Amino acid sequence: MSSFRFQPYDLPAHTAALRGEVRDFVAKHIADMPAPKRAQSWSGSDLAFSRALGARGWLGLTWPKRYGGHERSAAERYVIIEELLAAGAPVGAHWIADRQSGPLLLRFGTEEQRQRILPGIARGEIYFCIGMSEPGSGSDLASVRTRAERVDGGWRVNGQKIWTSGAHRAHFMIALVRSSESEHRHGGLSQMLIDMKSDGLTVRPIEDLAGERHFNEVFFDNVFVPDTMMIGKEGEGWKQVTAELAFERSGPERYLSSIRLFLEFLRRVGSDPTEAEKILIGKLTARMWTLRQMSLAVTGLLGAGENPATEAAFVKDIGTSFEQGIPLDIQALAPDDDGSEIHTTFRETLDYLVQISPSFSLRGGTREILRGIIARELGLR
Amino acid sequence: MSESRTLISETANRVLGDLAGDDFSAAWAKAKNAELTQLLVSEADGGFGGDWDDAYAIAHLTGLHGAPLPLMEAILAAHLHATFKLGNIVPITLCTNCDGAVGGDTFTGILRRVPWGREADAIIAAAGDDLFIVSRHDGTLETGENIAGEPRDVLRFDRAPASSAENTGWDAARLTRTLAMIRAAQIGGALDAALDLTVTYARERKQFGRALAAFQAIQQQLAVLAEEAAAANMAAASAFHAADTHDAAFEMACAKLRANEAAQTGARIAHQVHGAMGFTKEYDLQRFTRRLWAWSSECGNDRPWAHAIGAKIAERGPDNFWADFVAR
Repeated sequence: MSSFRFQPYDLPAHTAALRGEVRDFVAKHIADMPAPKRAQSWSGSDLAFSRALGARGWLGLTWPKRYGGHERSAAERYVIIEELLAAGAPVGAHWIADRQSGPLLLRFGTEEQRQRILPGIARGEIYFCIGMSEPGSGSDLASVRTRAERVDGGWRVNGQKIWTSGAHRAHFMIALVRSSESEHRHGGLSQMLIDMKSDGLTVRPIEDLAGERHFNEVFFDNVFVPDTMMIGKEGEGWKQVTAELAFERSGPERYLSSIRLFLEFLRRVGSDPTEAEKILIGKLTARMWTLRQMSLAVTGLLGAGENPATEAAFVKDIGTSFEQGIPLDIQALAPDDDGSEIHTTFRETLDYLVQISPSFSLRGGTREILRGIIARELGLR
Repeated sequence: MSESRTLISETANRVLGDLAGDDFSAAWAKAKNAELTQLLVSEADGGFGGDWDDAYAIAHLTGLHGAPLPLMEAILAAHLHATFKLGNIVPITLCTNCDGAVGGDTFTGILRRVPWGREADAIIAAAGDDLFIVSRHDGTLETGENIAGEPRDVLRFDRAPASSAENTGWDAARLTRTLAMIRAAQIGGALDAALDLTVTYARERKQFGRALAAFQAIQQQLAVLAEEAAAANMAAASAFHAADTHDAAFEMACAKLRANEAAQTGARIAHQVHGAMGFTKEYDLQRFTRRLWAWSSECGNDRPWAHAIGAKIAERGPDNFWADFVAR
């Protein structure tokens, strides 16, 4: 049992030029974007920016050209997304489609679905949301109750999803639904593509604790879903959703959510900070550097055609604990909040991240679920 | 992994796993016969010609087995000895706590916390910019140990003959950070051993009618232990890997600092899950956790490394941070 499969991975030398291109692109497109806005990271969205990225050829990067992709490597995709995240670029609109919905359709979708949808994702014009959680089904995903019943030419869907990020601007949802009875709790589940403009589908926003509207409730009232929208095999939804989550768990977005605050903290403390500030900066940097090596190692495994689902769980749990710790560590050490800094970039960035940081270890699989995955791999369950 | 690395790793794993009950002489003879100390000596000088990635594999194994030998010190000392033609006696250890100076052909000063100094005929150390070697027999010896019981001796010299080399690029700071990187890999190895023992124990030990492993509270703790072991090893392996291409001062500092954090968290969890059994001399866990505590305070605890990294980053400022960070 030695450390699973984390081996140092070097990004190929040719990615250096690409990195420079991304920096130039970001500098040109979001030069005036203020830090608190950049702190939204992949929750922030700007449709024009998504379309510009698509036009530049940086979405659907690794997909086949016949689906609008660019047939480039996982390493190149890594470089692009870590540069965008480090800059705080507004990538939220296309993020889910590019990261997981597109790859899911490539793997399990029909030829017609791929041809119809993937080119639009790669252009930065088609956005997705994920229909997993329900009011009675959070970490216990297999307990979903939204039902799809057979009808002539397709399915009739009834039920409700919740905490659906981006549902208000998404064109499609990939929904996990119960499509048949099964004795096994992981059986009888299916994934289907649902057009968000369907009759009977309602999206209602939920305000988060910071007053923002990123996530939603989605209601299905006799929503008709044609047969052509079934993804993969009816009843294979659990297997597919597990594969989908592996795409979601190892990227740099799992440790960079608080990078904007770290940078604004550096700006606030200046070139010769106190001993305590230097030590905090050093510790956070060492953890961040280690996480990047781990995240790169997973990219290396993906590039080699391996399935790094367990390693991805490591990266996500360590990474989200790290990015969640930054706001409180910095708040604890920041200059006294006497009101004089109330509108400064540093204070606004800090206040924002302190409030949204609880979500980091919830979204995409809670800390407890990830540790459960690791415990299973250790042979404990 | 390359074929040659697999070969040397398998040899080291076999030798280091078979030292139980040996006194120092017997254990050292096994390591020496297997030519493990020649790992970083070039093939031209009759060595194995390994690189730093190879050295990571062996350093990890010394931690994994809690090897009671200064094998990594000897590997680095043999490398420096052969590269810079330092004297005729092959040193088996080196010292990163040198208080003194080389003047002419002599060294006057104190070498502290020398790993297995008592067993060495010669020791390599650095005084400022001078890398030098002295004979232990020209000094006086005061024995000591770290909290894991590993020999950490004091040697005092008064105008002892010293052979030094100029412009080696190996000053005291580089010697220290290189040994710090080695300790990081050893911490990773010891954490893997502690994880293995703890998982095995949790599966066998029953309370309230079921194995400890069946309790979610225990599972979650063990997952964190596994994460910390993986993080320490990734940090160490990445620093060794970087050392193959440049003097990886930043990476070495990060590796030791991250490994220190992992050692603290990992040892705490391993003991908590073991209960009183892990707190006994007889049970194996202490061989690893006492090393974790000792190694995390050697070659720099958290403070100097965090301070060094933090000062440098603050000096470079927020607008250079990311570009610097991904260039390493």
